[in-house]
Amino acid sequence: MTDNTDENRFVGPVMKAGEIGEAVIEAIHEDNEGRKIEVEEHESYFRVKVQGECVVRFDTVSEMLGRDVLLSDIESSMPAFEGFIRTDSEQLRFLAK
Amino acid sequence: MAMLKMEEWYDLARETNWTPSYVTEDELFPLPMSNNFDIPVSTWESFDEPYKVSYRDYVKSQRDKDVGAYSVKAALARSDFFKKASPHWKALLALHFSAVCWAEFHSASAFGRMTRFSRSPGMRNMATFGTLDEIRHGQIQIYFAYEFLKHDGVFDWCHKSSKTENWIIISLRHALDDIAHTRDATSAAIMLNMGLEQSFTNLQFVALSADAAKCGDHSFATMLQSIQTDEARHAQIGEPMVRIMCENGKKAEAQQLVEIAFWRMWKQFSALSGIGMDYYTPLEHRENSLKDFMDEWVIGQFGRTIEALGLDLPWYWDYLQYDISTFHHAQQIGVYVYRATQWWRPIACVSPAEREWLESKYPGWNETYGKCWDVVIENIRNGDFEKTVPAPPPLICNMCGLEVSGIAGDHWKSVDHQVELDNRLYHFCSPVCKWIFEIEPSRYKGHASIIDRCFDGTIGTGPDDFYEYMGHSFAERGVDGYDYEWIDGYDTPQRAAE
Amino acid sequence: MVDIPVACNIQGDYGFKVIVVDDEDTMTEVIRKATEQIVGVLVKQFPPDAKLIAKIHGADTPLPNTATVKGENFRQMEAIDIYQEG
Repeated sequence: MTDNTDENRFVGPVMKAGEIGEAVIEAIHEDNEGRKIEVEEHESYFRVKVQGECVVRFDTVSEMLGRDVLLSDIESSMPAFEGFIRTDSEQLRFLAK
Repeated sequence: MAMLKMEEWYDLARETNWTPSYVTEDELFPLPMSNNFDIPVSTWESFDEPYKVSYRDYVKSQRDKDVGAYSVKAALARSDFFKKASPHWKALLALHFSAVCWAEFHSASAFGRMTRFSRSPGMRNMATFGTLDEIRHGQIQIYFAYEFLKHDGVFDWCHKSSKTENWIIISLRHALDDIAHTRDATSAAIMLNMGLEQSFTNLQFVALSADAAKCGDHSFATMLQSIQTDEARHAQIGEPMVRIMCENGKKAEAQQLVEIAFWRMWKQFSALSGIGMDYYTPLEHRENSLKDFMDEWVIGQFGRTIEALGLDLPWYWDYLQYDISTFHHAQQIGVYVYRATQWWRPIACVSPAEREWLESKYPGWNETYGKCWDVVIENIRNGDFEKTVPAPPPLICNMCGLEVSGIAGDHWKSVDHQVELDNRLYHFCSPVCKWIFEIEPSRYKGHASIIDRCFDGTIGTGPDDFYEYMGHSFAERGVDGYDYEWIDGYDTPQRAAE
Repeated sequence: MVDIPVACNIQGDYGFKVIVVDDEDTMTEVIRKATEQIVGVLVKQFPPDAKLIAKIHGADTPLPNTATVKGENFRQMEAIDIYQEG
């Protein structure tokens, strides 16, 4: 089974380089145990890839950053993403299917 | 008193449909504006936008984004970045801003149509924010561009271009009119969100921001990314739209809408981003080629998204891969040799080092497109600058409005796809542009390309008639941005690297 | 004697260029009118002994150089390929 099939697709946010991006990446490592995670670094952005599903919990990001972070703060640093996005007041999720 | 979480009130707040009693459903949502594709309104009401936001959050978030972008701009305003930027970067900024600003603003109209005429309350909500987003995108980019107006009058074209008949603007305006401004709200949503926003905007707004950051243009890089954070949110309208269509027997219709829009936008971005990334970005600051970025963002990310949504890859996916390595190289030759027809100062970007890079990214470039450049360079070396401008005009595609082009040089391949209809011969750059025409000939057959207009009496035959028709004063005819001092590289004292 | 636009792709060029010819022009004259404007501008000179021929784009065989535009029923904006024989 290749990485391109629906359920094994790598999904996740594309984060602008900066402190919010770094906090999101750290939080993703924290909240996606058991899933394969890759981070591609480009000059002005990072592409975070998590296999199957990527969860971003706002309280984990806040903890990593050292101050409260809301969805709107993450949105401001997220110019793109791959996967089907789902949002609520506590987390962002990116789904492969 | 604790505030409710958004998910506790959101579903109730967005239920804004009612059963009309003074007018009929069809009068409230007329078919030309609001095609429901015979799917019942109760099904459209199941539209669940994946990226939910309240108006209060939207206002806060957008204000924070503007503060972020404008503060970077203000901080860098005294750096004189633009004055010190190379003709490469100036050409890229001029092309970007004068093509994009009005296109964004016009998109507000398309989103406004979705706001009013979508059957789904959830989509109407999201389209409201999308309308505001696009107004923002038009305004912020014109504002950023106007900073340069005091240095360079070309930025007047940010506002002016859409009102002209410049041949590139005709091409772009036709494409956007086709997918966004002359379609019902449902079709426009699918075409815009899937065919443009989720596919190509990432090229010009995220990938290019990487090049901009490398170039040191942090104001532009920040602006691009800030804009794209809105896009990432409102482009998500496409996902539930396509799902509803596919789940209700309308997959073929959704598929065709995506295929038409994607190709029309590919042609525009191959010229805009292709020339921007592979030529206009200074060599030392290029992160990746157009092909590299297309592989990451379009062939890769968008291709996977399409299939995960239940659609098929477009029928022309293999042809696209050929086009990625060819079309924009031909267009760049044309944009340079016919530079007087451009409103900015085009640059060739084929110094020895740049040609080496092009060869590494597109093996065979020197034996093909490079052969045309060899002739141009030879003429420049001999001081025959006039011979670098072909006297006859090029053949223009009757769909995308760009040049009908093939492969040049040692592997010459003549390409032209034709349709004969009502005693008129139509030419197309690709089988896909031809296919789009043949789906609905009555929609497209009345349009005349810039070249058709040269020969049907629309444009006069005097030496200045063409430029006047396109809206160019004499001072607004493009010239070589390096004044021909590039054929052996850029390391001359007056052109030291930025 | 009627003017007619013809789109010409000369061997080596990246695309077509639209020239105006007379409908009584032979292919030899059409080729001359096209090449004098594009050879040395976008494509290099052909060898001195090169024989250039023209073909309606998409056709299987080239036209005889003595054929005329009118005789071959060229349509408005007909597309032709011009290349070296052999």
